[in-house]
Amino acid sequence: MDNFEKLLNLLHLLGPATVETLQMVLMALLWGGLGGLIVGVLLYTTKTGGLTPNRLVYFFLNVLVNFFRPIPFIIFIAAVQPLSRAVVGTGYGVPAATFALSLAAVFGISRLVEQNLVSVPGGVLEAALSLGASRFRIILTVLLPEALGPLILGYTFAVVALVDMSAVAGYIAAGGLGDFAIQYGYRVYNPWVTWTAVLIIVIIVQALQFFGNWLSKKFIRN
Amino acid sequence: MSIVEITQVAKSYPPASRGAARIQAVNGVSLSINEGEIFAIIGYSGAGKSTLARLINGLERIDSGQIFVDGQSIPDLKEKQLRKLRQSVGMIFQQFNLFTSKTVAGNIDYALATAGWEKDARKQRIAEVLDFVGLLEKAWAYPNQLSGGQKQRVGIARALATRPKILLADEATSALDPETTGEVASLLSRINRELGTTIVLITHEMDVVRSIAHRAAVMEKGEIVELADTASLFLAPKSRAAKNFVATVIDGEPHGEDLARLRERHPGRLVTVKIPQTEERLQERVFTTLGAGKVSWELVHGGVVHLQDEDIAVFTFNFQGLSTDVDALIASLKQIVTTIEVGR
Repeated sequence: MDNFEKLLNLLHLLGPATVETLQMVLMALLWGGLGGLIVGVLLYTTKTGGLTPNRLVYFFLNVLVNFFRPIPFIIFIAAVQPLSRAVVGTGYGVPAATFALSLAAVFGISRLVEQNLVSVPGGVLEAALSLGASRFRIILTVLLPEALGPLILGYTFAVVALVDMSAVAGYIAAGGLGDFAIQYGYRVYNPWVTWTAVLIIVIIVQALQFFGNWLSKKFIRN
Repeated sequence: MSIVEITQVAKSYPPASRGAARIQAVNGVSLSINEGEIFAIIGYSGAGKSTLARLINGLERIDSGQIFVDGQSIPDLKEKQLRKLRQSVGMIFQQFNLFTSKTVAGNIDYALATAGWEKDARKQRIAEVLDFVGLLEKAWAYPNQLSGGQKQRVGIARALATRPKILLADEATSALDPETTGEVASLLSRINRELGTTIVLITHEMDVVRSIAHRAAVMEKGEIVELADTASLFLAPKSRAAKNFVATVIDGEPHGEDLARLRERHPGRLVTVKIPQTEERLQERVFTTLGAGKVSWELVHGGVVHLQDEDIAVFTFNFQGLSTDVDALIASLKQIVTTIEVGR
Protein backbone atom coordinates (compact mmCIF):
# COMPACT_ATOMS: atom_id res chain seq x y z
CA MET A 1 0.00 0.00 0.00
CA ASP A 2 1.54 3.34 -0.93
CA ASN A 3 1.36 6.46 1.21
CA PHE A 4 -1.51 8.03 -0.73
CA GLU A 5 -3.68 4.95 -0.29
CA LYS A 6 -2.89 4.95 3.43
CA LEU A 7 -4.09 8.54 3.58
CA LEU A 8 -7.37 7.58 1.95
CA ASN A 9 -7.87 4.90 4.59
CA LEU A 10 -7.29 7.48 7.33
CA LEU A 11 -9.71 10.07 5.98
CA HIS A 12 -12.44 9.01 8.38
CA LEU A 13 -10.18 10.24 11.21
CA LEU A 14 -9.58 13.61 9.59
CA GLY A 15 -13.10 14.90 10.21
CA PRO A 16 -13.06 14.25 13.97
CA ALA A 17 -9.52 15.68 14.22
CA THR A 18 -10.65 18.89 12.50
CA VAL A 19 -13.65 19.11 14.79
CA GLU A 20 -11.41 18.61 17.85
CA THR A 21 -9.09 21.40 16.73
CA LEU A 22 -11.96 23.79 16.03
CA GLN A 23 -13.61 22.88 19.30
CA MET A 24 -10.48 23.56 21.33
CA VAL A 25 -9.64 26.77 19.48
CA LEU A 26 -13.12 28.27 19.56
CA MET A 27 -13.78 27.39 23.19
CA ALA A 28 -10.37 28.81 24.17
CA LEU A 29 -11.16 31.93 22.15
CA LEU A 30 -14.43 32.31 24.03
CA TRP A 31 -13.09 31.76 27.56
CA GLY A 32 -9.59 33.09 27.04
CA GLY A 33 -10.98 36.00 25.05
CA LEU A 34 -13.37 36.95 27.81
CA GLY A 35 -10.77 36.52 30.56
CA GLY A 36 -8.15 38.36 28.49
CA LEU A 37 -10.58 41.20 27.90
CA ILE A 38 -11.25 41.59 31.60
CA VAL A 39 -7.58 41.36 32.61
CA GLY A 40 -6.54 43.63 29.72
CA VAL A 41 -9.11 46.29 30.63
CA LEU A 42 -7.99 46.09 34.27
CA LEU A 43 -4.34 46.45 33.27
CA TYR A 44 -5.31 49.52 31.25
CA THR A 45 -7.56 51.19 33.82
CA THR A 46 -5.52 50.49 36.97
CA LYS A 47 -2.29 51.85 35.52
CA THR A 48 -1.08 55.18 37.01
CA GLY A 49 -2.96 57.93 35.17
CA GLY A 50 -5.66 55.49 34.06
CA LEU A 51 -9.41 55.70 34.64
CA THR A 52 -9.27 53.91 38.00
CA PRO A 53 -5.60 53.92 39.05
CA ASN A 54 -4.75 51.21 41.59
CA ARG A 55 -1.10 50.39 42.07
CA LEU A 56 -1.67 47.15 43.95
CA VAL A 57 -4.04 45.59 41.39
CA TYR A 58 -1.87 46.73 38.48
CA PHE A 59 1.31 45.37 40.07
CA PHE A 60 -0.30 42.01 40.82
CA LEU A 61 -1.81 41.57 37.36
CA ASN A 62 1.31 42.78 35.63
CA VAL A 63 3.52 40.28 37.46
CA LEU A 64 1.00 37.48 36.88
CA VAL A 65 0.83 38.10 33.15
CA ASN A 66 4.58 38.53 32.81
CA PHE A 67 5.16 35.28 34.70
CA PHE A 68 2.86 33.04 32.66
CA ARG A 69 3.02 34.55 29.20
CA PRO A 70 6.58 33.50 28.24
CA ILE A 71 6.12 29.81 29.24
CA PRO A 72 6.31 27.64 26.07
CA PHE A 73 2.90 26.07 25.55
CA ILE A 74 4.14 22.47 25.45
CA ILE A 75 5.50 22.98 28.98
CA PHE A 76 2.51 25.06 30.08
CA ILE A 77 -0.01 22.37 29.07
CA ALA A 78 1.83 19.83 31.24
CA ALA A 79 2.47 22.23 34.11
CA VAL A 80 -1.18 23.22 34.53
CA GLN A 81 -2.41 19.58 34.54
CA PRO A 82 -3.06 19.56 38.31
CA LEU A 83 -5.03 22.78 37.98
CA SER A 84 -7.07 21.47 35.08
CA ARG A 85 -7.90 18.32 37.09
CA ALA A 86 -9.26 20.62 39.79
CA VAL A 87 -11.23 22.81 37.40
CA VAL A 88 -12.50 20.54 34.60
CA GLY A 89 -12.10 17.23 36.39
CA THR A 90 -9.47 15.70 34.13
CA GLY A 91 -5.87 16.21 33.12
CA TYR A 92 -6.27 14.59 29.70
CA GLY A 93 -8.26 14.99 26.51
CA VAL A 94 -10.07 17.86 24.87
CA PRO A 95 -11.42 19.42 28.13
CA ALA A 96 -7.95 19.61 29.71
CA ALA A 97 -6.39 20.96 26.51
CA THR A 98 -9.17 23.53 26.16
CA PHE A 99 -8.59 24.60 29.74
CA ALA A 100 -4.84 25.02 29.21
CA LEU A 101 -5.39 26.87 25.95
CA SER A 102 -7.95 29.19 27.56
CA LEU A 103 -5.66 29.97 30.47
CA ALA A 104 -2.70 30.70 28.20
CA ALA A 105 -5.00 32.81 26.03
CA VAL A 106 -6.04 34.94 29.01
CA PHE A 107 -2.43 36.01 29.58
CA GLY A 108 -1.62 36.52 25.91
CA ILE A 109 -4.84 38.31 24.99
CA SER A 110 -4.74 40.60 28.03
CA ARG A 111 -1.58 42.24 26.69
CA LEU A 112 -3.10 42.61 23.22
CA VAL A 113 -6.18 44.23 24.74
CA GLU A 114 -4.12 46.58 26.93
CA GLN A 115 -2.00 47.68 23.95
CA ASN A 116 -5.03 48.33 21.76
CA LEU A 117 -6.81 50.34 24.44
CA VAL A 118 -3.81 52.65 24.77
CA SER A 119 -4.53 53.80 21.20
CA VAL A 120 -7.80 55.43 22.30
CA PRO A 121 -7.08 59.16 22.86
CA GLY A 122 -7.40 60.20 26.51
CA GLY A 123 -9.38 63.25 25.42
CA VAL A 124 -12.26 61.08 24.23
CA LEU A 125 -12.54 59.51 27.68
CA GLU A 126 -12.32 62.96 29.24
CA ALA A 127 -15.20 64.11 27.01
CA ALA A 128 -17.32 61.22 28.29
CA LEU A 129 -16.39 62.11 31.89
CA SER A 130 -17.35 65.74 31.22
CA LEU A 131 -20.78 64.54 30.11
CA GLY A 132 -21.26 62.95 33.51
CA ALA A 133 -20.71 59.31 32.53
CA SER A 134 -19.48 56.88 35.20
CA ARG A 135 -16.14 55.14 34.73
CA PHE A 136 -17.77 51.74 34.31
CA ARG A 137 -20.14 53.12 31.70
CA ILE A 138 -17.22 54.74 29.87
CA ILE A 139 -15.33 51.44 29.69
CA LEU A 140 -18.31 49.66 28.16
CA THR A 141 -19.76 52.40 25.97
CA VAL A 142 -16.74 54.47 24.91
CA LEU A 143 -13.41 52.73 25.53
CA LEU A 144 -14.25 49.32 24.03
CA PRO A 145 -16.34 50.64 21.07
CA GLU A 146 -13.61 53.17 20.20
CA ALA A 147 -10.97 50.41 20.17
CA LEU A 148 -13.18 47.77 18.54
CA GLY A 149 -11.54 47.72 15.11
CA PRO A 150 -7.99 47.19 16.40
CA LEU A 151 -9.31 44.81 19.09
CA ILE A 152 -10.83 42.56 16.43
CA LEU A 153 -7.48 42.47 14.62
CA GLY A 154 -5.81 41.63 17.92
CA TYR A 155 -8.23 38.77 18.55
CA THR A 156 -7.68 37.52 15.01
CA PHE A 157 -3.97 37.41 15.73
CA ALA A 158 -4.72 35.57 18.99
CA VAL A 159 -6.99 32.96 17.42
CA VAL A 160 -4.37 32.16 14.79
CA ALA A 161 -1.88 31.68 17.64
CA LEU A 162 -4.41 29.37 19.33
CA VAL A 163 -4.59 27.17 16.21
CA ASP A 164 -0.82 26.95 16.37
CA MET A 165 -0.83 26.11 20.09
CA SER A 166 -3.63 23.55 19.75
CA ALA A 167 -1.36 21.37 17.63
CA VAL A 168 0.40 20.42 20.87
CA ALA A 169 -2.83 19.09 22.39
CA GLY A 170 -2.05 15.52 21.30
CA TYR A 171 0.56 15.59 24.03
CA ILE A 172 -2.21 15.17 26.60
CA ALA A 173 -4.35 12.91 24.38
CA ALA A 174 -6.67 15.65 23.13
CA GLY A 175 -6.30 14.73 19.46
CA GLY A 176 -6.77 17.43 16.86
CA LEU A 177 -5.09 18.05 13.53
CA GLY A 178 -1.62 18.41 15.07
CA ASP A 179 -1.92 15.01 16.66
CA PHE A 180 -3.23 13.54 13.40
CA ALA A 181 -0.22 14.89 11.52
CA ILE A 182 2.30 13.58 14.04
CA GLN A 183 0.72 10.18 14.80
CA TYR A 184 -0.29 9.09 11.31
CA GLY A 185 2.10 11.20 9.27
CA TYR A 186 5.42 11.97 10.87
CA ARG A 187 5.79 8.81 13.00
CA VAL A 188 5.15 6.46 10.06
CA TYR A 189 7.05 8.50 7.48
CA ASN A 190 3.93 9.45 5.50
CA PRO A 191 4.26 13.04 4.18
CA TRP A 192 0.83 12.77 2.46
CA VAL A 193 -0.87 12.62 5.85
CA THR A 194 1.28 15.34 7.41
CA TRP A 195 0.67 17.71 4.52
CA THR A 196 -3.04 17.05 4.42
CA ALA A 197 -3.27 18.17 8.06
CA VAL A 198 -1.09 21.17 7.24
CA LEU A 199 -3.38 22.08 4.35
CA ILE A 200 -6.48 22.02 6.54
CA ILE A 201 -4.77 24.10 9.22
CA VAL A 202 -3.73 26.64 6.57
CA ILE A 203 -7.32 26.81 5.30
CA ILE A 204 -8.65 27.35 8.85
CA VAL A 205 -6.08 30.09 9.53
CA GLN A 206 -6.77 31.83 6.21
CA ALA A 207 -10.52 31.76 6.84
CA LEU A 208 -10.12 33.18 10.35
CA GLN A 209 -7.75 35.89 9.15
CA PHE A 210 -10.05 36.84 6.28
CA PHE A 211 -13.06 37.01 8.58
CA GLY A 212 -11.16 39.06 11.18
CA ASN A 213 -9.92 41.56 8.59
CA TRP A 214 -13.39 41.92 7.11
CA LEU A 215 -15.03 42.41 10.49
CA SER A 216 -12.48 44.93 11.78
CA LYS A 217 -12.85 47.04 8.63
CA LYS A 218 -16.52 47.49 9.46
CA PHE A 219 -15.58 49.13 12.74
CA ILE A 220 -12.46 51.15 11.94
CA ARG A 221 -13.62 54.68 11.26
CA ASN A 222 -10.47 56.73 11.41
CA MET B 1 -25.09 87.18 40.13
CA SER B 2 -22.08 84.92 40.05
CA ILE B 3 -22.52 81.36 38.83
CA VAL B 4 -18.91 80.32 39.45
CA GLU B 5 -17.20 81.50 42.63
CA ILE B 6 -13.55 80.53 43.00
CA THR B 7 -11.74 81.44 46.22
CA GLN B 8 -8.02 80.97 46.91
CA VAL B 9 -7.86 77.76 44.88
CA ALA B 10 -4.67 75.76 44.50
CA LYS B 11 -3.91 72.64 42.51
CA SER B 12 -0.59 70.86 42.01
CA TYR B 13 0.47 67.72 40.15
CA PRO B 14 3.13 65.14 40.93
CA PRO B 15 6.37 65.93 39.11
CA ALA B 16 7.19 64.21 35.81
CA SER B 17 10.44 62.84 37.22
CA ARG B 18 11.06 61.46 40.67
CA GLY B 19 12.55 63.83 43.20
CA ALA B 20 11.55 66.99 41.34
CA ALA B 21 9.23 69.52 42.93
CA ARG B 22 5.47 69.21 42.47
CA ILE B 23 4.09 71.25 39.60
CA GLN B 24 1.93 74.08 40.92
CA ALA B 25 -0.65 74.40 38.12
CA VAL B 26 -3.03 76.76 39.89
CA ASN B 27 -1.85 78.90 42.78
CA GLY B 28 -4.16 80.96 44.98
CA VAL B 29 -6.67 81.89 42.29
CA SER B 30 -9.82 83.83 43.19
CA LEU B 31 -12.40 84.97 40.71
CA SER B 32 -16.11 85.06 40.18
CA ILE B 33 -17.86 84.50 36.88
CA ASN B 34 -21.25 86.13 36.39
CA GLU B 35 -24.27 84.32 35.11
CA GLY B 36 -24.79 84.99 31.41
CA GLU B 37 -21.38 86.40 30.57
CA ILE B 38 -18.57 85.23 28.33
CA PHE B 39 -15.55 85.13 30.59
CA ALA B 40 -12.18 84.58 28.97
CA ILE B 41 -9.23 83.00 30.75
CA ILE B 42 -6.15 83.96 28.78
CA GLY B 43 -2.66 82.56 29.14
CA TYR B 44 0.21 80.85 27.37
CA SER B 45 0.38 77.06 27.43
CA GLY B 46 1.29 75.86 30.90
CA ALA B 47 -0.19 78.93 32.59
CA GLY B 48 -2.74 76.75 34.38
CA LYS B 49 -5.87 77.88 32.54
CA SER B 50 -6.93 74.40 31.36
CA THR B 51 -6.46 73.04 34.87
CA LEU B 52 -8.60 75.88 36.23
CA ALA B 53 -11.38 74.94 33.78
CA ARG B 54 -11.20 71.29 34.89
CA LEU B 55 -11.53 72.33 38.53
CA ILE B 56 -14.86 73.95 37.66
CA ASN B 57 -16.47 70.70 36.46
CA GLY B 58 -14.56 68.57 38.94
CA LEU B 59 -12.52 66.64 36.38
CA GLU B 60 -9.67 67.64 38.67
CA ARG B 61 -10.10 68.04 42.43
CA ILE B 62 -8.66 71.08 44.19
CA ASP B 63 -5.90 70.81 46.81
CA SER B 64 -7.16 73.79 48.80
CA GLY B 65 -9.55 76.71 48.57
CA GLN B 66 -13.21 76.69 47.60
CA ILE B 67 -15.25 76.50 44.40
CA PHE B 68 -18.96 77.08 44.13
CA VAL B 69 -20.65 76.25 40.83
CA ASP B 70 -24.31 77.14 40.52
CA GLY B 71 -24.55 77.24 44.30
CA GLN B 72 -22.94 73.85 44.89
CA SER B 73 -19.67 73.41 46.74
CA ILE B 74 -17.56 71.31 44.34
CA PRO B 75 -15.05 69.94 46.91
CA ASP B 76 -17.93 68.55 48.98
CA LEU B 77 -19.62 66.69 46.12
CA LYS B 78 -19.45 62.90 46.02
CA GLU B 79 -18.55 61.21 42.71
CA LYS B 80 -22.20 60.59 41.89
CA GLN B 81 -23.27 64.17 42.64
CA LEU B 82 -20.33 65.42 40.62
CA ARG B 83 -21.52 63.40 37.61
CA LYS B 84 -24.93 65.01 37.98
CA LEU B 85 -23.35 68.47 38.13
CA ARG B 86 -21.35 67.82 34.95
CA GLN B 87 -24.62 67.49 33.06
CA SER B 88 -25.18 71.19 33.75
CA VAL B 89 -21.61 72.16 32.84
CA GLY B 90 -20.84 71.39 29.19
CA MET B 91 -17.30 71.18 27.90
CA ILE B 92 -15.73 71.47 24.46
CA PHE B 93 -12.14 70.72 23.54
CA GLN B 94 -9.29 71.75 21.25
CA GLN B 95 -9.15 68.30 19.61
CA PHE B 96 -12.98 68.04 19.62
CA ASN B 97 -12.81 64.60 21.33
CA LEU B 98 -15.78 63.16 19.44
CA PHE B 99 -16.56 59.45 19.71
CA THR B 100 -15.31 58.20 16.34
CA SER B 101 -17.25 54.95 16.61
CA LYS B 102 -20.56 56.81 16.88
CA THR B 103 -22.40 58.93 14.35
CA VAL B 104 -22.96 62.64 14.87
CA ALA B 105 -26.42 61.85 16.26
CA GLY B 106 -24.89 59.04 18.33
CA ASN B 107 -22.42 61.46 19.91
CA ILE B 108 -25.22 63.74 21.03
CA ASP B 109 -27.39 60.82 22.07
CA TYR B 110 -24.60 59.67 24.37
CA ALA B 111 -24.83 62.89 26.37
CA LEU B 112 -28.62 62.59 26.63
CA ALA B 113 -28.65 58.87 27.48
CA THR B 114 -26.03 59.47 30.17
CA ALA B 115 -28.28 62.12 31.65
CA GLY B 116 -31.17 59.64 31.64
CA TRP B 117 -33.38 61.18 28.93
CA GLU B 118 -36.23 59.12 27.46
CA LYS B 119 -35.82 57.85 23.92
CA ASP B 120 -38.43 60.08 22.27
CA ALA B 121 -37.20 63.20 24.03
CA ARG B 122 -33.63 62.33 23.00
CA LYS B 123 -34.58 62.03 19.35
CA GLN B 124 -36.28 65.39 19.38
CA ARG B 125 -33.46 67.09 21.27
CA ILE B 126 -30.80 65.73 18.86
CA ALA B 127 -32.64 67.31 15.93
CA GLU B 128 -33.02 70.53 17.89
CA VAL B 129 -29.35 71.01 18.79
CA LEU B 130 -28.12 69.88 15.37
CA ASP B 131 -30.42 72.42 13.80
CA PHE B 132 -29.08 75.05 16.16
CA VAL B 133 -25.45 74.43 15.10
CA GLY B 134 -26.51 74.05 11.45
CA LEU B 135 -25.58 70.39 10.98
CA LEU B 136 -28.95 68.67 10.76
CA GLU B 137 -28.04 67.06 7.42
CA LYS B 138 -24.92 65.48 8.97
CA ALA B 139 -26.79 63.55 11.70
CA TRP B 140 -25.85 60.16 10.24
CA ALA B 141 -22.29 61.01 9.25
CA TYR B 142 -19.32 59.75 11.24
CA PRO B 143 -16.88 62.30 12.74
CA ASN B 144 -14.09 61.34 10.32
CA GLN B 145 -16.29 62.48 7.44
CA LEU B 146 -16.46 66.03 8.83
CA SER B 147 -14.19 69.08 8.58
CA GLY B 148 -12.55 70.57 11.67
CA GLY B 149 -15.15 73.30 12.02
CA GLN B 150 -18.01 70.81 11.63
CA LYS B 151 -16.43 68.53 14.25
CA GLN B 152 -16.28 71.40 16.72
CA ARG B 153 -19.91 72.26 16.01
CA VAL B 154 -20.82 68.64 16.80
CA GLY B 155 -18.73 68.98 19.99
CA ILE B 156 -20.73 72.09 20.85
CA ALA B 157 -24.06 70.38 20.06
CA ARG B 158 -23.06 67.44 22.27
CA ALA B 159 -22.08 69.77 25.12
CA LEU B 160 -25.31 71.75 24.79
CA ALA B 161 -27.62 68.75 24.51
CA THR B 162 -28.51 68.60 28.19
CA ARG B 163 -29.09 72.39 28.35
CA PRO B 164 -26.14 73.23 30.58
CA LYS B 165 -25.97 76.57 32.34
CA ILE B 166 -22.24 76.81 31.80
CA LEU B 167 -20.11 75.93 28.79
CA LEU B 168 -16.37 75.42 29.30
CA ALA B 169 -14.53 76.01 26.02
CA ASP B 170 -10.97 74.70 26.38
CA GLU B 171 -8.96 76.15 23.47
CA ALA B 172 -12.00 75.33 21.35
CA THR B 173 -10.78 77.26 18.30
CA SER B 174 -7.04 76.65 18.56
CA ALA B 175 -6.98 73.76 16.09
CA LEU B 176 -9.03 75.64 13.49
CA ASP B 177 -8.04 77.93 10.62
CA PRO B 178 -8.79 81.67 11.03
CA GLU B 179 -12.03 81.63 9.04
CA THR B 180 -13.45 78.62 10.88
CA THR B 181 -12.28 80.14 14.17
CA GLY B 182 -14.47 83.14 13.38
CA GLU B 183 -17.47 80.92 12.64
CA VAL B 184 -17.10 78.95 15.86
CA ALA B 185 -16.59 82.17 17.86
CA SER B 186 -19.81 83.58 16.37
CA LEU B 187 -21.64 80.40 17.28
CA LEU B 188 -20.40 80.66 20.89
CA SER B 189 -21.54 84.27 21.00
CA ARG B 190 -24.96 83.27 19.65
CA ILE B 191 -25.26 80.52 22.29
CA ASN B 192 -24.51 83.12 24.95
CA ARG B 193 -27.04 85.61 23.57
CA GLU B 194 -29.89 83.29 22.60
CA LEU B 195 -29.64 80.57 25.25
CA GLY B 196 -28.18 82.69 28.04
CA THR B 197 -25.42 80.13 28.58
CA THR B 198 -22.47 81.36 30.63
CA ILE B 199 -19.30 80.64 28.67
CA VAL B 200 -15.84 80.20 30.14
CA LEU B 201 -13.47 80.72 27.26
CA ILE B 202 -10.01 79.23 27.82
CA THR B 203 -7.77 80.54 25.07
CA HIS B 204 -4.54 82.13 23.97
CA GLU B 205 -6.17 83.60 20.86
CA MET B 206 -6.80 87.27 21.57
CA ASP B 207 -8.80 87.71 18.40
CA VAL B 208 -11.49 85.44 19.85
CA VAL B 209 -11.38 87.26 23.21
CA ARG B 210 -11.64 90.58 21.39
CA SER B 211 -14.65 89.57 19.34
CA ILE B 212 -16.84 87.81 21.92
CA ALA B 213 -15.66 88.07 25.55
CA HIS B 214 -17.19 90.43 28.10
CA ARG B 215 -14.51 90.06 30.73
CA ALA B 216 -11.12 88.42 30.85
CA ALA B 217 -8.56 87.15 33.33
CA VAL B 218 -4.92 86.78 32.33
CA MET B 219 -3.08 83.85 33.90
CA GLU B 220 0.63 83.38 34.28
CA LYS B 221 2.41 80.61 36.22
CA GLY B 222 -0.81 79.47 37.88
CA GLU B 223 -1.83 82.92 39.06
CA ILE B 224 -4.21 85.55 37.79
CA VAL B 225 -2.11 88.58 36.95
CA GLU B 226 -4.90 90.74 35.58
CA LEU B 227 -8.68 90.75 35.53
CA ALA B 228 -10.76 93.34 33.72
CA ASP B 229 -13.62 93.85 31.32
CA THR B 230 -12.46 93.29 27.76
CA ALA B 231 -12.49 96.96 26.81
CA SER B 232 -10.27 98.01 29.74
CA LEU B 233 -7.95 95.11 29.07
CA PHE B 234 -7.47 96.19 25.47
CA LEU B 235 -7.29 99.89 26.31
CA ALA B 236 -4.88 99.71 29.20
CA PRO B 237 -3.30 96.32 29.86
CA LYS B 238 -1.25 96.53 33.04
CA SER B 239 0.71 93.29 33.35
CA ARG B 240 3.48 92.32 30.97
CA ALA B 241 1.57 89.19 29.91
CA ALA B 242 -1.61 91.16 29.20
CA LYS B 243 0.36 93.74 27.18
CA ASN B 244 1.88 90.98 25.08
CA PHE B 245 -1.50 89.39 24.45
CA VAL B 246 -3.17 92.68 23.58
CA ALA B 247 -0.33 93.53 21.20
CA THR B 248 -1.15 90.43 19.15
CA VAL B 249 -4.44 91.97 17.98
CA ILE B 250 -4.26 95.74 18.38
CA ASP B 251 -2.59 96.61 15.12
CA GLY B 252 -2.86 100.32 15.84
CA GLU B 253 -0.05 99.95 18.33
CA PRO B 254 3.22 99.35 16.47
CA HIS B 255 5.57 96.70 17.77
CA GLY B 256 8.49 94.61 16.59
CA GLU B 257 9.45 95.15 12.97
CA ASP B 258 6.77 97.83 12.44
CA LEU B 259 8.05 99.89 15.32
CA ALA B 260 11.66 99.65 14.18
CA ARG B 261 10.64 100.78 10.68
CA LEU B 262 8.63 103.74 12.05
CA ARG B 263 11.56 104.73 14.22
CA GLU B 264 13.81 104.77 11.16
CA ARG B 265 11.44 106.79 8.99
CA HIS B 266 10.26 109.34 11.54
CA PRO B 267 12.74 111.40 13.51
CA GLY B 268 10.18 112.77 16.03
CA ARG B 269 8.62 111.13 19.10
CA LEU B 270 6.14 108.34 18.52
CA VAL B 271 3.02 108.39 20.69
CA THR B 272 0.13 105.91 20.63
CA VAL B 273 -3.31 106.96 21.85
CA LYS B 274 -6.22 104.54 22.44
CA ILE B 275 -9.63 106.08 22.10
CA PRO B 276 -12.75 104.13 23.09
CA GLN B 277 -15.63 105.14 20.83
CA THR B 278 -18.46 104.75 23.31
CA GLU B 279 -17.34 107.76 25.32
CA GLU B 280 -18.61 111.06 24.14
CA ARG B 281 -16.60 112.90 21.49
CA LEU B 282 -13.27 111.63 22.78
CA GLN B 283 -11.82 111.46 19.30
CA GLU B 284 -12.85 115.02 18.63
CA ARG B 285 -11.25 116.19 21.87
CA VAL B 286 -8.03 114.36 21.01
CA PHE B 287 -7.80 116.02 17.61
CA THR B 288 -8.70 119.42 19.02
CA THR B 289 -5.89 119.06 21.55
CA LEU B 290 -3.50 118.06 18.75
CA GLY B 291 -4.44 121.17 16.75
CA ALA B 292 -4.16 123.57 19.68
CA GLY B 293 -0.49 122.96 20.50
CA LYS B 294 2.68 124.14 18.77
CA VAL B 295 3.72 120.60 17.97
CA SER B 296 3.47 119.39 14.40
CA TRP B 297 1.87 115.97 14.18
CA GLU B 298 1.53 113.27 11.61
CA LEU B 299 -0.57 110.08 11.74
CA VAL B 300 1.85 107.21 11.06
CA HIS B 301 0.07 104.05 12.18
CA GLY B 302 -3.37 103.00 13.35
CA GLY B 303 -6.68 101.22 13.14
CA VAL B 304 -9.95 100.50 14.87
CA VAL B 305 -10.34 97.35 16.98
CA HIS B 306 -13.81 95.90 17.34
CA LEU B 307 -14.57 94.43 20.75
CA GLN B 308 -17.68 92.63 21.95
CA ASP B 309 -19.13 95.76 23.54
CA GLU B 310 -17.36 98.67 21.90
CA ASP B 311 -14.78 99.84 19.38
CA ILE B 312 -11.40 101.27 20.19
CA ALA B 313 -9.46 103.50 17.81
CA VAL B 314 -5.72 103.17 18.22
CA PHE B 315 -3.57 105.79 16.52
CA THR B 316 0.16 106.35 16.57
CA PHE B 317 1.43 109.88 15.88
CA ASN B 318 4.83 111.26 15.09
CA PHE B 319 5.28 114.49 17.09
CA GLN B 320 7.88 117.05 16.10
CA GLY B 321 8.65 120.25 18.01
CA LEU B 322 10.38 121.57 21.13
CA SER B 323 10.69 118.79 23.67
CA THR B 324 8.91 120.87 26.35
CA ASP B 325 5.98 121.43 23.93
CA VAL B 326 5.81 117.73 23.08
CA ASP B 327 5.87 116.85 26.81
CA ALA B 328 3.02 119.29 27.43
CA LEU B 329 0.98 117.82 24.55
CA ILE B 330 1.49 114.28 25.82
CA ALA B 331 0.45 115.38 29.32
CA SER B 332 -2.78 116.93 28.05
CA LEU B 333 -3.56 113.87 25.88
CA LYS B 334 -3.06 111.67 28.93
CA GLN B 335 -5.85 113.58 30.65
CA ILE B 336 -8.26 112.53 27.90
CA VAL B 337 -7.28 109.02 26.83
CA THR B 338 -4.71 106.25 27.30
CA THR B 339 -1.51 107.67 25.85
CA ILE B 340 1.76 105.79 25.56
CA GLU B 341 5.04 106.97 24.15
CA VAL B 342 6.44 104.07 22.15
CA GLY B 343 9.89 103.07 21.01
CA ARG B 344 11.97 105.41 23.14
